[in-house]
Amino acid sequence: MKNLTDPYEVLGVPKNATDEEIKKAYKEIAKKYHPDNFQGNPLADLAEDKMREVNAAYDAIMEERRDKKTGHRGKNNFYGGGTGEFNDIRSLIQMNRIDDAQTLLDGVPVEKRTAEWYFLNGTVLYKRGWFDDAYTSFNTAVNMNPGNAEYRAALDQINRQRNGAGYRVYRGQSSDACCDLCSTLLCINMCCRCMNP
Amino acid sequence: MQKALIKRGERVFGYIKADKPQMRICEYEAYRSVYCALCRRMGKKYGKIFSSALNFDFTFAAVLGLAIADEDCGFEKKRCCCNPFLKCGYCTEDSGVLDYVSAAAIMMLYFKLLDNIADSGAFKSICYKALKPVSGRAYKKAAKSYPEIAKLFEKQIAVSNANEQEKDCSADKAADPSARLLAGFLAGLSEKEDEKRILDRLGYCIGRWIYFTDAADDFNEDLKNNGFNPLVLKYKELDEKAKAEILCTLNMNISEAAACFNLLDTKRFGDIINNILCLGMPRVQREVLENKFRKDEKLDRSV
Repeated sequence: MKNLTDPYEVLGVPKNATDEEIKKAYKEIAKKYHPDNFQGNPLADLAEDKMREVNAAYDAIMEERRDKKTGHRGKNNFYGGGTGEFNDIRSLIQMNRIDDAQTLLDGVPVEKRTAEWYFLNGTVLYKRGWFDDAYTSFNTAVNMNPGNAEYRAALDQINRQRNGAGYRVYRGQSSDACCDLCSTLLCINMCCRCMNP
Repeated sequence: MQKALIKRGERVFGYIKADKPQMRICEYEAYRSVYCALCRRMGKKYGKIFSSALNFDFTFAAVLGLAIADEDCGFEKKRCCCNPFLKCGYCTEDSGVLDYVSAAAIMMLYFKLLDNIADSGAFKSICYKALKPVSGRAYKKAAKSYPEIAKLFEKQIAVSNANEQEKDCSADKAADPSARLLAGFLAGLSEKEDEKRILDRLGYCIGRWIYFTDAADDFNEDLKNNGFNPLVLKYKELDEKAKAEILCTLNMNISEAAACFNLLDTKRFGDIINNILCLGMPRVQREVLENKFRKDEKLDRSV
């Protein structure tokens, strides 16, 4: 069981790790819990808790080491924007009451469905796990209002996931590094053979 | 798509595999010993013939459950329960994870059998009917220990059947019952509220992934036999463009599942699950889309 009060254990580094190692460990973990990965995910609050815990651990270590760099990351405020027209739906979504939000959304007549409606509909579908329909809905929102950063961010996020960004990192190694090592060894081997026939 | 869910149950629940070449030897041995322990547990509790109901997907569920269990699990070497000339490593545990997973596997087998009886021709149907009392007894035993899971399975399979009758069922809607089934099943692996939420979402994504992987796998067959398949409804034929779209759909589920898994505090086996999510599942989907997937792959005993 992890001892969560020990900042070193939170980051998974030994007490005698160098500042560089701590920074690296922090970055790796922070990447996992970064709000970008959980945009619209119903577990976003858990990810935020984790992020806070990791930030606190990093700050504590750095403070302890009298280093002034804190590496604090700003939070994405997902539900900040909007025209106010759908504020009740937004607050339902924020409370994770997706069935209620869906009912309200479905009640909006087709001719009154704005870009924001499609964005919120996509958000609800995403939370439900209906990713294909969510993708279509986000696409419609961006097409109707290409200038909106909030809609664009949601579509970008889902596009990253559709391209498999979520599973490309395995054990913190990229496969390129492995191939580089292999090819280097191969080259060295060939060179050695040339020199000692 | 109940067919996919149950009829070819062994296959449907056999897509979540580890990528063996990328595993550490100790990881592979642990993975295998969970598989063997599950096989033995099912044989002991419900009768030897039920060991065959086991597949990789239930093994994944067991590994996941053990990964977050508070009690540590041990390992022992014993004679294999299927082949007396072999010795296998067995994972030993008392936290109830293996009992829970084997009960679910038994229930799944029973529903698969019921579906087979309803769907196959006269002769085959008689063979399946002969198996029904044995399987039904095992199902009752499993359902008695875990009534909430039996209820969940029954409910979602009924919804799935209803969806199949709709001729214009959207892909997301069609996948929903399977996804919910796995979500509820995995959520049952933990008692803690936060963990339950994570497992629920993780299960939903993986259930969806299994459903769509199976639908992609059966695409041409269902197209020929006019079987219900939401991907056939959506894409009409399996050309390069459709394949690219399906790959995106599948990727999406793995990406989300991996993000959810990162939120879990695993006490052991974390790397095994990472291997399955980040390497094994992407490999399987690639193989399925390239028509190279082997459905009947057994557990490799060599290391």
